[in-house]
Amino acid sequence: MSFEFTPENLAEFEELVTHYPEDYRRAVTLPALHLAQSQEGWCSPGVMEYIAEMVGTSPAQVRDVVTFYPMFFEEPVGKYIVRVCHTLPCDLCGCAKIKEHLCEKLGVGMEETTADGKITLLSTECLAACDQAPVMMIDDDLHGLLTPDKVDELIDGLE
Amino acid sequence: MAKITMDGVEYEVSDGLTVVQASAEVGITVPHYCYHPELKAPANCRMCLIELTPPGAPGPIRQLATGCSTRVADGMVINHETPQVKAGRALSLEALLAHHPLDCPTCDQAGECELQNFSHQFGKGFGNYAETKKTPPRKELGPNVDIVATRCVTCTRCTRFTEEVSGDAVLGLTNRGGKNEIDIYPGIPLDNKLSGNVVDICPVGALLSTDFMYKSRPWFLDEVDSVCTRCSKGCNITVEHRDGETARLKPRFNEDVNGFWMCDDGRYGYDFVNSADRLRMPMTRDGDDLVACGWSDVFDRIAAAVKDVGGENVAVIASAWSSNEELHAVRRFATEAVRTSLVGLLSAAGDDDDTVYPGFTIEKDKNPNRTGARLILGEEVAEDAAIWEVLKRAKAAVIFSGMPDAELSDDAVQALEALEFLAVIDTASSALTALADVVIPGTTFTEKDGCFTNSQKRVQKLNAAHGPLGASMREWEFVKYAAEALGADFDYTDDASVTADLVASTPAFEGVTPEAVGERGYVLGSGEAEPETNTGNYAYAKMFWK
Amino acid sequence: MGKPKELRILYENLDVPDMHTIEVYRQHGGYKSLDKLFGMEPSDLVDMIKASGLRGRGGAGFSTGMKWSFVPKDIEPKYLCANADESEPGTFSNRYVLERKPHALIEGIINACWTLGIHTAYVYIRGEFTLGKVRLDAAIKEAYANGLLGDKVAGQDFALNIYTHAGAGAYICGEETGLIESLEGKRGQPRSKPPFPAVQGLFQKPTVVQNVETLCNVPYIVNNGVDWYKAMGSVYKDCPRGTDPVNSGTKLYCISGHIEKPGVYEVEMGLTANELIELAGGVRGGNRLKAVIPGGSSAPILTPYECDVPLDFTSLQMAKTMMGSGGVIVMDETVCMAHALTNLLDFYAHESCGQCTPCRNGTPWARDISKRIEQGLGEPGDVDRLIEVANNIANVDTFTWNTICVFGIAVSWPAVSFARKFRPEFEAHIREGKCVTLPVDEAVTPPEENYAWPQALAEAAQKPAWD
Repeated sequence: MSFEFTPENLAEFEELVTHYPEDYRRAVTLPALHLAQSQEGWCSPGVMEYIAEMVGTSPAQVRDVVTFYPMFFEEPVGKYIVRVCHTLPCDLCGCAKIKEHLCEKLGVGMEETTADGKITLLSTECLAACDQAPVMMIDDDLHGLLTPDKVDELIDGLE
Repeated sequence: MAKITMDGVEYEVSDGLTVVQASAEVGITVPHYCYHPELKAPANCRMCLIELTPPGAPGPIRQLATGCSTRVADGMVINHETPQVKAGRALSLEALLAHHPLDCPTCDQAGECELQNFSHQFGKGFGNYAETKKTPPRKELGPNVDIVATRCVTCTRCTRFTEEVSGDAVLGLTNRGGKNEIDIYPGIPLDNKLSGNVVDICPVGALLSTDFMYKSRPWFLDEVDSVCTRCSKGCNITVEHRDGETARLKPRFNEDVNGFWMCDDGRYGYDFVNSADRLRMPMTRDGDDLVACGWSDVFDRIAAAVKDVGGENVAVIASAWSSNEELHAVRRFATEAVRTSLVGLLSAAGDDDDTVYPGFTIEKDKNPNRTGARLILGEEVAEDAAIWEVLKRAKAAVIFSGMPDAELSDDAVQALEALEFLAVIDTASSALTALADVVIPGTTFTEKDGCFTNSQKRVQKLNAAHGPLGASMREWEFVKYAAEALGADFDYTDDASVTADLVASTPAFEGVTPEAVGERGYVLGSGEAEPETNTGNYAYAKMFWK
Repeated sequence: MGKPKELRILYENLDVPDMHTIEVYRQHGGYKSLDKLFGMEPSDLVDMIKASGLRGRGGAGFSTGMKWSFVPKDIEPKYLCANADESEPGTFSNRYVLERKPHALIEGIINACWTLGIHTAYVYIRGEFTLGKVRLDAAIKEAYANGLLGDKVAGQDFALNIYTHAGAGAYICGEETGLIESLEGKRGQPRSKPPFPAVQGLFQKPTVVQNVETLCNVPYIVNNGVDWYKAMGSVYKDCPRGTDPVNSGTKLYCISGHIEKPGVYEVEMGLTANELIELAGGVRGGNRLKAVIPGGSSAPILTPYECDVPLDFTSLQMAKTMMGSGGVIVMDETVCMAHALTNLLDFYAHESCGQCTPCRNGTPWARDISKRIEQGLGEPGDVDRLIEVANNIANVDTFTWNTICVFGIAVSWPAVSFARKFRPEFEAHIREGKCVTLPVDEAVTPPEENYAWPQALAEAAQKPAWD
C-alpha cells in the first residue's frame, strides 16, 4: 500500500520544489499530487502519506487538499477517465443524450467504473469548450461536437 | 490605548485588540464562532459582523466588516446594532441552524452552547429551512474526543488548533462546499496530549469529551477556581463538581501561565479524587490489616513513637503535592515539635524532558509544588533516592504523600520496612499505606484552600470544592494536633492563619497576601502586586470562556 | 462612435499553423513590444495602462492601471499570478490563447512584470487544460532558450522566471485569493479582504493576479500607444458616481448555447447583445430567442426585451448585470428556465468552497428550491422563497454581502434574476405540478411588472453609502 516516486518522478519533484520559495515548500503540493496520481492512477493512502512527508505537512492536510479538488481521485479509477461536461451550455446542446448513451453503452452510471476496470465515467462541470458543446474529455484529450455515433467511435477505439 | 466610538459612546480600549476583544473589554458582546484570540482568524462564520467607519472616513463602509479580523485604531467608529448588522447576524444564525439537528435535549453542550446563547440573543426566533438536512456520520476522532458531525458548524477552530497549537495538524476539513466535514486522517487519531482543548473551543455540541459525556448537565455543576496538580506548570483550572464528586476540570484563562489551554494529563487525571480507594478515616495496623481508629489513637501513637525513639531519630518526609501552607506546617512540625533534622521531600517521578508543542509546553516536573517545598524546606532538602538514605538513619518516620499511583523502589521498601514505626498521610490506599503502622487520611487539591507555587515561582490559590471526606481533616490541622501531642503549640485556625505564619517567617514569601495572589497568582519577589484588571483576553475570557 | 467593429487583435494569427512556436510567433510580430518596453520607466508604464482604460477581463472589470498602482514599490519579492483558471460556464477564450498562441501570454507577463518590478510569475492553469499546459510549458521553455526569460530577459538587467501550476478542478480557484491559497498548496478557500493581494498576497507578499486576456492586451498598448487603444471601444458621459465610464479596446466574446455559429468573436466593446447574436449567425434553427446570459453564468440574465444593451462594462452595470468574463450563453424558446437555473445552481453548489456560513448553507438551499420547482414539487411561495434565500447569501438589490468573497453574489445573481424575470414560468411549474416550458412571451415577466428590480435599487441608492 505504500508509495514512492520513481527515480524520474523524484527528479521532477525536486525540480518542482525549486519553483517555490524555500520556506513555502507546501506550495508544491498540487503539482506533487498530479505527479503522484499520474504514476499511481489515484491518490491512494500511500500517495497521501508519502506526499505529506515529502512536502512537510500532515497526512490530514494532504487529504484536505485531495478531497477538495475533484481531479484528485480518492478511490481507484479505471484505465481511462471519461469526463462528460453537464453545465448549462453543454446541457443546452444535448449533453443529456450523450450521457444517457454512454451509460447505456458502458453499462454503468455516472461516477462509476466499468466492471472490467477499463473506463471510469464522470460527470463534470464546465470544461471551457462551450463552442464545441457537447464535450467530453477522455484522459487528456478533449472531444467536442459529440453525437452518439462519434461517442461510439471514440469509446470503441480505446484499447 | 485606542480611543474608539462604539454605538455612539466613546471608549478607551487596550491597543492592538480585535473589535471582538475590545467590545468584550467594555461589556459589549460580539457573537462569534470561528474566532479565538489564540488562533488565526479565518472570519468564516460571519457572525461577528459590525458596521465599520475607518478612522478619518466620512461614513461607514457599505459592506459589513468582521470584528474578528478588524483591529481597533484611534478614531474608529463601530456600530453593533444597526439594522444591517442585526439582519446579517440573524441570517448567519438561520443558515447555521438550517442543518443543525436541534437535539438540545440529548446534546452534552446544552447549557454551555454558543449556538443556543447567540440564537437566543441575536437570532430571528424561527427558521425557514424546509429542505433535507444533511446527516454526516458520528465519528471517534481519538481516545478522548468524539464528533457528532451533524452539529458541526465547520468553524474550523479545531483544525486550526491542531495546526497552530499542537502543531501536528491531525484534524482536517475534508470535501468541499456543503459536503465539508471535520475528520482525522484514517489511522492517525487525535491523540496528542492537548486533545481535550478542542472540546472546549468547539462552540457547539459537535466535539464531545468521552470523559464527560452524559455525566451531568452543566447547570447542575458548581464551580471553584483551582490549580492543576499534574506538573509544575500550575495551569489555572476550574473544578466542576456535583454532590461532593468532581465531574470535570476545565482550563481557566491566565495570560502568564497556561493561556486558554491545559493538557490531557491534567484534564483527565482526576480519577484519584473520586476514587473508591479514598481514605476517609484514620487507621492503625492490626497484623496484616489496617483497622479504623479514632483520632486520639493516632496522636497518642505518634507521640509515643517519638518519645520512644527520640525526636532526633524520627524522619519527617514532606510531599511535593502539598500546599505551601501544609509544607510550612510540616516544617514547623519537624523542627519544633519532633525536633529532628531528618527531613526529606517526596515527589512523583518526572519525565526526562518537557513536552513541547508549538503553542503549549507541558513541564517535566510532575509535581504541583516542588518549588514551594524547596523554598520552605530549603533547596538542599533530601529528594528522590536521598530520602531513603535519610530513612536509614531514622527509627521512625512520618511521611506525607497524596500523590496518585506512587511506586516504591526496592530500596525504598527496604528502608521503610526497617522502621520501627511509620505514620503515613495519604489520600488513598497505596504502596506507602500498605507498610504503615498508622494511616492518616489526607485531602486532594479539590479539598484544599491553600496555594501551590509553580515553576515560575508564582503562588496560585486553590479553592476547596467541598470539605475533607469522611472523618479526614486538613493536613495543617492534623499537624497542629500532632504537634500539640508533642507539646508544641501552633496557633492555626484556618488556611489564612497558616499563610500569614508562612509569610511572616519565610523571607522568600514576602508580599504574599490574598489580594496579591488574587485569581491570577503572585510571583515571589516581584514586589508590589498590580491590581487585576479585566482587559484584553481577560475580558474576552470573562465574557466567552466558561 | 460608429458600429463596433469585429477586429482580430488578441486573436490575430490564431489560426496560423504552429503559431504556438516562438519562430512563427516572432515572424508575425511577436515580442516586438520588448523593443519599446525596457526603454520606458515603470511608473510611466503604469500611467500609460491607466490612461488606456484597460479593465480586467476576468470578470471584475477593475481598472488594470489602478490595480497596478496599489502595488508597493519597495517590497521584495513581489509576484504576478496569471489567472488561467477559466472556469466560468460559457467562457472559453483563454483556452485558445493558451493552446494556439501561448507566447502572447508570456509577452504580456514580461510587460507586466517589468512594469511592476516582479521577478517571479506563476501561471495558474486549470487542470483540465491539458493541451494548454503542454503548449504553454513548451513555449516557456522556448522563451528561456531564446533569452526571453531567466536572469537577463532580452539581455536586460532584469530577471524573470515563469512557472506553470496546474489546478485540479475548482472554480473557486479563479477567485484571486482562492487562486493564491491553491498556489500555496492548500484548499482554494478565498481570504478576507483587506488585506488585499496587492499588499499581502502570495506567500504574504505583494501580488497581482491578472486574467490571461488582460495580460495579452498589454503588449499591444505598449506597441501602439494609448490613443490607438482608446479609439476602440465605448465611453459614456453622465454615469452615476462610482461607475467607470470607459471601456477601451476589444473583448473576446464567447458565444455558445442555442446559436448557429458558436465561438469566440473579438469585437470592439459596445456592440449590443442582439448584434453579437447576429454576428454569430443568429439563434439556431431560426428559433425565437428566450434569454441571454451576457457575461458568464454569474451575470444576471437578460430577457429578449433587454438585448439592445451594449455589451460593455458600463452599460451592463447600468442594466444591473455585468460583463463578467464575456461568456454569452444564448437560450431559445425550447428551454425551461427552471431547468436552466437548477443546472446553474447545481454548478454553484458543487463549486462552493464551503468556508463561510451564508454560501455553504445558502447555495444548496437555493438549488434545492429550484430543483423542486423544476420537478413539479414546488409549493406556493417558493419563488419568493428562492429569491429570499438567494438574497440572504448576497443581496443583489443593495449589492452588499456577508460572504467572504463574491462567489455569494455569483450565486445570488442568477437565482434572483431568473426567478424575477421569468417568474411566470416558475409559477406555472408550481401551479401545474410538473415541468412546463412556456412560449417566450408568456414565460417572461412583463417589463412593466418587473418592478422589484428598479424599485429596490432606487431604495438602495438613497442609503448613505460610501464606497
